[in-house]
Amino acid sequence: MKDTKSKEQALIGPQIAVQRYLDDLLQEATLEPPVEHLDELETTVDESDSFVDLEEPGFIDSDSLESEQVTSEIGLSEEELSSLDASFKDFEEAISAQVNGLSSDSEEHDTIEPEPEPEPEPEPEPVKKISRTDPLPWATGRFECLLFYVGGLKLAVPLVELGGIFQSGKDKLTSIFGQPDWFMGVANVGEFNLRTVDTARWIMPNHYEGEMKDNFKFVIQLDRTDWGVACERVAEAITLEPSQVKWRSDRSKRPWLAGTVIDHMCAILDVQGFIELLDDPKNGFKSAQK
Amino acid sequence: MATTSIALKNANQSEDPMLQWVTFRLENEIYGVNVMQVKEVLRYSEIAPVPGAPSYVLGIIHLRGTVVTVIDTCQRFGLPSGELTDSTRIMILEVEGHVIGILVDAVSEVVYLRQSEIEPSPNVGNDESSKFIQGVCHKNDILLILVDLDKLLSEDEWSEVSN
Repeated sequence: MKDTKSKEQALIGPQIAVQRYLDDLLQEATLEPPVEHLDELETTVDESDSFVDLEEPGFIDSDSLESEQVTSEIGLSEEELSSLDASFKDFEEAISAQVNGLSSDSEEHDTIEPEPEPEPEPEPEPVKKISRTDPLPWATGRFECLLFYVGGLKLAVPLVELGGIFQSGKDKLTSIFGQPDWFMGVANVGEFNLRTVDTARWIMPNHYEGEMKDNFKFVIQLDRTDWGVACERVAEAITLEPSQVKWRSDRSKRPWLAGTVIDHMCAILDVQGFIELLDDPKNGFKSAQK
Repeated sequence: MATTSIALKNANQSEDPMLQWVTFRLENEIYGVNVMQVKEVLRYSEIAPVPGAPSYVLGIIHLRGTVVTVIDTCQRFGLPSGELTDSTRIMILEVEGHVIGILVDAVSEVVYLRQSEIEPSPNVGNDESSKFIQGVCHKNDILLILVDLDKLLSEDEWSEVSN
């Protein structure tokens, strides 16, 4: 009887750990003030409105002008056209007389007035860096995610930021000495090398003892970078509405976490945040741990 | 025409020289050192420990009347120490005018690599030992880790070892 109880406990143990971890994540996410998020949304909406206002009138005006010219050209008779030509000649003569009379003045005017400075060419707008509090650009409408498993925890990566999935394993991985423990090594996938990350060490450092290295079977490439996250199993792709996700409005504590999906009991990766963290020369892992 | 193509070939070779690397195994990975720095490869023989020597020094061996210091490569690279087997070798190297030996699990082969084939090391840490890696290169489905022997020991360490 005791044996069966201990077996049950051994089986339930990891599930409870995962459950508690997800609960922690969700609790953290739900504690964040929703007002801030709404404000952000409003600002983005305002910005998009102003964009439309600026663009539309110019576009319509030029079209309508062109169409008017075309109709007048078509609608006029030859007599009307010749009278128009004559009046245009008169207009030209009058203008030239006026210009001759003013030529001396204009010369003086030219010498006095400094030449207007040429307008500086508009610099290309720098790529806008998404703040840790901004909503993620791919999450404005319906989006697709790929589910995968790391140490029993279900994670999701948005398909728009998924570089690729590569079969790998311990035998295909080259360990390099002098690297941090979260860096598993270099996985050669086709024509390039992926710097493979021990995902569990980042995501659940307190519930993990380093068993990932022996069990992982796939490496998921983060966007188009040479970073890849190791995982044990790749599951199906799912479609999500932004409303289904509890978004993290402040991603400064866990930059790799975009939000959680209660329906699927999974955490969505913020791929760009994760890449920034990995690229951080100070090894953001250590500071994220604090 | 023929002379032009030969001249072009020579120019390409000088721009992208072909280098020879002696590869060896340590733990489960394959490393490479520049063949020009390898003097010889010996079977494992008794290494006499030296009292008071630094931790990365295994001891000394006699090589035709000369005393050669043997470095514990695993310790230097921060790897767990491997077991001594029949394939364990001592590579005798000449680095910056000093002759030293390094203990490796096995010596594999000599490979030819173009300079352009060598990729920078995918270092992500600030660990001291990561500076020993000159680069990496894919050859025959294996990632070779190319070791910069000149950085294996610092000036002070060289003088310590020489003494």
